[in-house]
Amino acid sequence: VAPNGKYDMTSWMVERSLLDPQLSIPQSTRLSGSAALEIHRLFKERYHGLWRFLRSVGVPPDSIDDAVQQVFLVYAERHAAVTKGSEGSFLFGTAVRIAHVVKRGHRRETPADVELAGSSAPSVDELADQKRARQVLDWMLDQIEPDQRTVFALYEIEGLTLPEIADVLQIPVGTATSRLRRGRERFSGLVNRYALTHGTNEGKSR
Amino acid sequence: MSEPKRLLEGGGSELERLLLASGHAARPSRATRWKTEALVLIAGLGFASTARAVGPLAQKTYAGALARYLAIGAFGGAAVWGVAHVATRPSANAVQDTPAAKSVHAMPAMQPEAIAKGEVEGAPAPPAADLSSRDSIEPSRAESTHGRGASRARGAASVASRTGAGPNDSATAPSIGSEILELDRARASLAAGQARSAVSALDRYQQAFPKGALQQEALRLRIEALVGLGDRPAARTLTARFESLYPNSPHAKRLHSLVDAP
Repeated sequence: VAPNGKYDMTSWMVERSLLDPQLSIPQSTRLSGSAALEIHRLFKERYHGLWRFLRSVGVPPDSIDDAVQQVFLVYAERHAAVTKGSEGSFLFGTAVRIAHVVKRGHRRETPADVELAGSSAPSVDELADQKRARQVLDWMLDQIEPDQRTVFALYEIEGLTLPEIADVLQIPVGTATSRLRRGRERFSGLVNRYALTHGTNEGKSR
Repeated sequence: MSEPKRLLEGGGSELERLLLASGHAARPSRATRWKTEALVLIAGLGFASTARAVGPLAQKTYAGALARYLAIGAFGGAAVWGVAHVATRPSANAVQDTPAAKSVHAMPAMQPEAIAKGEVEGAPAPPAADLSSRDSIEPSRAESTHGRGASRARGAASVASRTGAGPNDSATAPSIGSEILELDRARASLAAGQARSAVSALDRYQQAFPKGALQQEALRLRIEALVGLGDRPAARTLTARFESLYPNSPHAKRLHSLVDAP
């Protein structure tokens, strides 16, 4: 049961699909042509966002593809239980839980060519290179507490609204708002510190 | 309730926007997307092909989507392979070298995780010849080629379907669409309980696409076929190989369960 008192169906689905090795799609409930088509449509709509979100929440790069695939497999298995119009929430909610499972035992490695704590970290000017900027962003996201990081990524990178995030995570909107506020504070603090130590007055500008 | 202004939309400092924009711009390579889409689609196709009651309209619609996908795949694979073949190196011919069919116990070495790894910018090109070729050209060039030839691709697919292009034809114009087609034959045989026929289809796949992008799916189907044939020792051997090649695959546990089932 989720904190808001609702039965957390998504958690149950993910737990079953990941932890129950016997689980497979029974012949009698396999997808009809229209359901398969629907999954393909959802894939085209949501693939990029899910891939980016899984990356944002710290799933190791070599596991992201499998994680995205797993999200859609879970949807394929449970599509009949997903309310029409809430497919996005289901997919992101599934992705959150899969990311949690995948991250167990993994730890994102800071790229060898970026020692962010040291003087070799890229200057702010060098962040115009998106790849370098992304490495710094990854490092900063790693410094944010996981619950706050998830809300932060969904709101600031994926553009979900707070009620949508609350629905995805099965938490009250107030909790989502609070996590976002604290995540933003943490992120801004890291950005300011980085700016001060790597060659800009950005940190003093706000 | 009003929501705070998003940092990317002016609510943050310039540096915050720059960093978040880089995160927003992160995207997988076309090859990665292609592969994942194929795996999701092939799953849907497999489920659909074994459904007992698929409405005619749904079948038609889904077949249309698949046909479009195959057309894009056939043209995209051929075009990209062709461009890379002419513009880069002779080693791209590796795709055309179709070795003799291998037995279950002597399958050629596969290129597993490298395809899935490092698809964010700057990652090394995957070893699969068709995929590395796809990666080796600039995305904008690929997209432009793709766009210009969309109608030609549909025509080509139509001709291919009329002439009944088989696996060997596919080998000369490698594409993920052709791979899907071949694997679906194996899947359909499995669904019909014809494990031996499925193994034959998988042998043909292996012969036509020795470095195909769907090796993981092919190996999974082969394990299921071996279980269907009652050859559990071979299935266990291949399951161990599957786990070592694709340790993060969502299918690993299920395969284990399948081969260990009484």
